[in-house]
Amino acid sequence: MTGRLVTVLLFCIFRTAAFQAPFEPGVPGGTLRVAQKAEPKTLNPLVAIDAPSREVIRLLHADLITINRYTQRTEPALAESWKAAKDGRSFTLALRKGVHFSDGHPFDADDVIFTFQVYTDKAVAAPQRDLLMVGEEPVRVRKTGSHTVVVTLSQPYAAAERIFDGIAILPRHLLEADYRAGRLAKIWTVASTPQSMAGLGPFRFREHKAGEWIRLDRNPYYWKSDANRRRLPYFDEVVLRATGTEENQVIRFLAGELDVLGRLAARSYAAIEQKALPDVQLVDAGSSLEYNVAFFNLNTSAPAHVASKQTWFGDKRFRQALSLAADREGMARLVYGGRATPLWGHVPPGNRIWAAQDIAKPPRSIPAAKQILTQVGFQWDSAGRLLDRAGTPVRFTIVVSSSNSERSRLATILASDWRELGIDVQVVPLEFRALLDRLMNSKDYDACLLGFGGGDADPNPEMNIWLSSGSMHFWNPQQKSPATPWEARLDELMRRQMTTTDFAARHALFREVQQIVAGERPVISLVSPNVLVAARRSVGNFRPAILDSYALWNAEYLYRVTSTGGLGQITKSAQVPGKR
Amino acid sequence: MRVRVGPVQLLLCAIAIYSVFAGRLAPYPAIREHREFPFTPPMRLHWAGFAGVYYCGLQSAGAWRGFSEDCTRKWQLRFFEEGRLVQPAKEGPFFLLGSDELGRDQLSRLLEGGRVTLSAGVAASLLTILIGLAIGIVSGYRGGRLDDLLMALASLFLTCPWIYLLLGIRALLPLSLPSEQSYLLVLVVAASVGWPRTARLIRGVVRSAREREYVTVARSLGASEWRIFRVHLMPELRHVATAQFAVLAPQFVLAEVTLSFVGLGIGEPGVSWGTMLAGLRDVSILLPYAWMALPCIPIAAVFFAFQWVSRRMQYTE
Amino acid sequence: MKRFVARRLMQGALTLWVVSVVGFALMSLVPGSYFDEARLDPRLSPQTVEAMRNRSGELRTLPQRYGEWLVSCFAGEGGYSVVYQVPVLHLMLPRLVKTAQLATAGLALSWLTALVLGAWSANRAGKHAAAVADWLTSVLAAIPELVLACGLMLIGLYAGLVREDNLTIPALALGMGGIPALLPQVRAGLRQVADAPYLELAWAHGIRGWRFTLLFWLRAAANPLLPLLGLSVGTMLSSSLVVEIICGWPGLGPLFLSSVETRDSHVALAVVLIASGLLITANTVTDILQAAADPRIRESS
Repeated sequence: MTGRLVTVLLFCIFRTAAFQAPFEPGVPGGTLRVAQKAEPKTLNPLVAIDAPSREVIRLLHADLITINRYTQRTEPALAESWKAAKDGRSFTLALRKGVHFSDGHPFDADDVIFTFQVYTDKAVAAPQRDLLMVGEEPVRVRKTGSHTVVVTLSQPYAAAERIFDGIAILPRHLLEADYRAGRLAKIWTVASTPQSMAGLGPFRFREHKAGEWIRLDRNPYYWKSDANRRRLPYFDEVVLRATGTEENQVIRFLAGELDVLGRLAARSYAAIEQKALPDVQLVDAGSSLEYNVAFFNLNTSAPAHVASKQTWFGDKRFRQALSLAADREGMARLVYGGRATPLWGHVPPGNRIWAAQDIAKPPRSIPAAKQILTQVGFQWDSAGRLLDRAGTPVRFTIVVSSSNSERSRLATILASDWRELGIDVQVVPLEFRALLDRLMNSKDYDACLLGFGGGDADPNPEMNIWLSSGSMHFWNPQQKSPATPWEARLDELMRRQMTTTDFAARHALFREVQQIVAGERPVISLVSPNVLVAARRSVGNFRPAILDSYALWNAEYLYRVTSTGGLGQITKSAQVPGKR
Repeated sequence: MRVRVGPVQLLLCAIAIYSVFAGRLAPYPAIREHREFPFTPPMRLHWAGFAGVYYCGLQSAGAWRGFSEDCTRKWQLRFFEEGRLVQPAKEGPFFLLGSDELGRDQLSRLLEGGRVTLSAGVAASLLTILIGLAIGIVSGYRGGRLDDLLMALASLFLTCPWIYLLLGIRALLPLSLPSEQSYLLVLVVAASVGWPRTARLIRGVVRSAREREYVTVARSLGASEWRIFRVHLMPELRHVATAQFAVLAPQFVLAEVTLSFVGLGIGEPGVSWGTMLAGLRDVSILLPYAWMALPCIPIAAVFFAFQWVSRRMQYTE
Repeated sequence: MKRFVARRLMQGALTLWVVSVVGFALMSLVPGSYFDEARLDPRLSPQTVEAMRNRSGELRTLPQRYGEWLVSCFAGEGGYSVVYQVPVLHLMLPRLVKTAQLATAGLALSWLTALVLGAWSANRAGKHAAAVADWLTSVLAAIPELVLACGLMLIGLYAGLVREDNLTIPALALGMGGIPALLPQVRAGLRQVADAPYLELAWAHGIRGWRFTLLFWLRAAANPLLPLLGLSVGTMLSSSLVVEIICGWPGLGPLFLSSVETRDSHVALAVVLIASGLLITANTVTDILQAAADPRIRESS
């Protein structure tokens, strides 16, 4: 046990150095069989909002500047280099020359101009649009040469180069007519022909069998090559198989039908680990960017029966006491088998660049929680029930999504923790979309347990959560003016960090955000699950990351290890944390 | 009217008695967590002659890595104390059927879950049979236009996507309602749209009985419709209805499994047989902890009892 | 006869139409939309999500949406999926084939077992067979379908049967699940006609064994058995739902489940209509067959 802990710690230190060993040269050929829990709904980057679709689209397309999933820092992709102007408002990007789309059509600055025009067009309503809005204005892209573009922002924007990540560059020669005709939402469906598609990614679409699989083949024009100047990717084919459920995914992996399991629930991971199969590599990539939080309904527009409880929820010390009572260690141990990190601040340690190190981590203590409650005027009756100052018993419900079994177990633990304080807490598992309806429309709930994050390590994409005017400021969204002084301060800090280009200054601003959240506890952070993946040992260069798409981010470098010669290296790379 | 004690009555009595005493039979409250003892395998009982029964302590091998028996510490099981049948020691937990992921006693969950599930299943099937009886009798007795209309309605009811009604109702229920109660409400709605099959069956019985010679003779002798119904139809209908009950009740118990696919089951931390069975879908529990499937055996035994009752009803026909 | 068929077809079409109206109304009861998923992504603004919903046509009134669905149906698309952005027919057909494969295999298995055991146990000589049939029925009926399917999946895993496109496990699960409901009824049907003079005659002629069973007994029992067969064909979609989901069989079951979750109303409605269409067709066909075999039924309807 201790040995394992040390390995994990060593690994964390190793990872914090953000050092990435170069990929070993691979062997071309073969088919990679990947599991997907659900089938991709579309291949169109302009409409895809579900995770499986985005995973496939990532394999079919490329972006200008990409975030290295391993180091979490930006690196050149289709833009060979970039230069920021002194005012931080414009960037000159030098595009790679001699690059072709997967149908052989050459790529140049016009494709980039077209791409940005489409993404920022209000009529298209692409999910990427809001990322490309800086200060209420879309970024403007100007062509200054056949392979140079200048990107202009309306105001200085921190980490501006990160917004290019995941912006798939579209083929103008195929899509312009559809764009003019306003048909972009209906193109590139799972029913489309491969001829109608082209991208700059390592693979291209070949075939789709409804409900079963989607087959991609190697893009012969892909622009990356390995250290030996061999053109990537190595695999001839990728088959993404929709298994429907997590359980089926595990069964089919154990049956040898699949090579890679994208992201596993902790229990599936433990079950595969327990089988100790010699040809399987299991990787615990460490804490993810996701964080599970509980929060209370502080909406001013909440229904009357909730409003009467808001005198409790609105008190910071009540929230602090409840946070003290939460058994975070128990959650990590029982729900995730120890493959999770207890959280006190809202930024998980997996976010190596931004997680503040100096957040207080008070251990769980029911007496301390009771003491705080006593100070605020709560008391207990003879039956041990918690009463507020007016003598009303404290009772409320926690809503949680019934489709996520791990999260509903978290809620179970949290509720029984709070019951120890004498509070009558009931967990109400609700179907996911019914839960969202209560959360965002009717505002008819007391407390909620939800998971956030997973997108990017940078704080900017989460503006919508922390700004009091944000639509995802869940406990009290879309406020006209900040309801509390600390929310006003959060607004100020978040806005300032967004426009500060100096990293150290930004870091200090965001650290204060984390401290305010940890102190005021608008959300009670609980645990962050680890990113767990499994693959056959015969998959070479397998280096899962904690950013999406966890196991496939370096799909172009993955290859099939055939001879025993390469196996020594594979075993070494598989001996990452958790395994012996 | 004389009340005959048939197999159905026996079964119902057994369920009622069980429901009342389930809480006392269970060693622990169903939601009591022993967080230090997740996924404990079933524990052995040791006999100590006249001194009674004792059980050993548990030695953990790490998170999700199992437990082994450690008989350096042992505690005696006490019976009939503090209103419970079995009273394990405070210092060391006792799990006859093992414990689940949060260290909750599987035996207690099985007993408590059966209470919720069986009463919901019995209530729902009784409701369905009542509605089915009413519509079937009217339809079969009156015949003609009304019969056509009711039977058309039945085939419509058979094919409508009621799952949406259930989802809608579940979403609108107030949160303060405990999940067992909201599940019961959902089940009641499901039962009230599930009458068509029963109604068709009853209608068939009524129609064929009406055509029998002795009924015609009775009618021609001046017997009132009510008398014919009471004397000639009632016994037959009672038979069909009880057989139907024995078939329907397990179906409603299992309905929760299907409903839990769309989040309509009782769900964590509530306890019911449906939840326990639905949890068995998870191979990652069954592969390392095969004994988690043990509760299937008593559940199947109860279904077997229902099955036996319905068979008995058929034979006595 | 023609009038009888025409009337049944009209009735069937009317039922389907009513089901579509009721289905649409019921679906509007359920809160939430497919695009709610996007509302949980902090990188999207509510305005963009609203624009997506608007584009999908979700924000129109119920009659408008129903009208659009009808138009799409008459255009041969069978509705339009907001999730996949393709005509529903395209999603439906490959999965319908898969479900039909599974259902055929499952039905064949349960009917074969039921007929063999039924004939054997309904036979005068089959005393032991009756006991076997009884116990098999009771034991299979006592095992919840889910447990059966999961158990078979695990057995299949160890036996190396969990392979792509391998029907064995799901068909076994479906077939075994169907036996307890079928066997007693088949046996009752066979027993009902066992004393028919026609069979006595055949027996007296010294016709025995399989020839007797197949050529005479089963034919005589067609009248009680046909509606049973119609019912099991008609309900095959709903009965294979759970098995498909658990065994990961890519039929209509998983599609229906995900369309309920994602509020993809046209897809869900299409599955429901296919299921009810199947039931109605099966009922009609058995009625016609029965009517063809037995003139009394024709007269009374």
